[in-house]
Amino acid sequence: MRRVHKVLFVFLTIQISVLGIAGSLWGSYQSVLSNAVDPKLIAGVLKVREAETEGAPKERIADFSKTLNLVLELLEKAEEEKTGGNLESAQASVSKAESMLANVVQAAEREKLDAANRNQQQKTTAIILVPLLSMIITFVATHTLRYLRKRSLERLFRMKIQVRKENEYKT
Amino acid sequence: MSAAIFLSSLAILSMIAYVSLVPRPKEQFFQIYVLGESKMAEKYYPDNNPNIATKIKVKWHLGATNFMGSLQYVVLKVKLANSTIPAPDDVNKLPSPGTLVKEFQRVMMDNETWEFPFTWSIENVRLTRETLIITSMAVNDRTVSIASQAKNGQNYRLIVEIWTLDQLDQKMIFGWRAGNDRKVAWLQIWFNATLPKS
Repeated sequence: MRRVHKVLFVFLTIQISVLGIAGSLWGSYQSVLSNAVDPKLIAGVLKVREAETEGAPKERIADFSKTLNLVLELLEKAEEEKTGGNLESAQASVSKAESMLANVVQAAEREKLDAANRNQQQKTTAIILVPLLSMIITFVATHTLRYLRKRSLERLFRMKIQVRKENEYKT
Repeated sequence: MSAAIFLSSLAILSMIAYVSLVPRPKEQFFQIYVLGESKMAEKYYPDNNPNIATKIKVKWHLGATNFMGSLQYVVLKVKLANSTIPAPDDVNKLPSPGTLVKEFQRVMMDNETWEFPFTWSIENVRLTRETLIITSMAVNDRTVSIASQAKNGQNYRLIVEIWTLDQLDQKMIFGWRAGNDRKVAWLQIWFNATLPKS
């Protein structure tokens, strides 16, 4: 009788352990599917938006937008597969979405840096060009005015000389 | 004289440089809409009859346009409510506590319009005394289990709310943030649920 109890005790202990492990695995699996991607997705969207604010080209932003929408489709598919009990396929979809998100974040970061550099270059160019152009305009305008004044004075003197010559001729 | 020319040209060129480098601020908003079967603001119900029996398919088109000036992560939430469940609160910017039927998500570019078919039907109802309870609906051929009741099945409404990703809080919020303001947009269409035609 005592031996039967012992066997039963061992059997129950093993069963409880197996159920416990399975439960914890299921729990972590569920958390992988439901929670882990959302912050990554949000980070991806925010990174693309940062790149756009810095002035990344529209075509690149459109590419990122397409990829992010594919990620959303994959996540929705994964959710359906999870509901349908197809956990392996759901996990595969989530992994693919995660890798696509990681690529988007990296590429968007590069675009953001490039755009920031371009912005800086444009600002520097503007800071240098504005006073330089102003100086050129001032130089050209001053010389043009001086030349025009000189020409008008010459014309005036020529007219006066002409008048004086005519007067001398008459007398 | 030269100083005056230099200062004037400096001012004009600085202005031109500022205008070309700094983007012009514009009003930031979203537009959402529901169209009927023919993609027009008409024929929202089969045979223009708002009494919807179970298994009858209602075909709408939902749409949203992003005028925020930047890429946005948008969620359109479709909720089922009766006449006593509050509609979204425009003053306090609170969403409706109605039953969530379906969420549609998309990342939208600036000036992009997102339009998609939204076909729904009441799949199952339960009648207890004078109360009709919708227990499941089908949205775009996928069944959704819900529980929403109305007296005699009258005055149900489907509410469409727009939610966006808030850059500051880094979470989805009802409506959107435009500068220091918070704005919301939602719409609703009423219908009556009826028992299956025998």
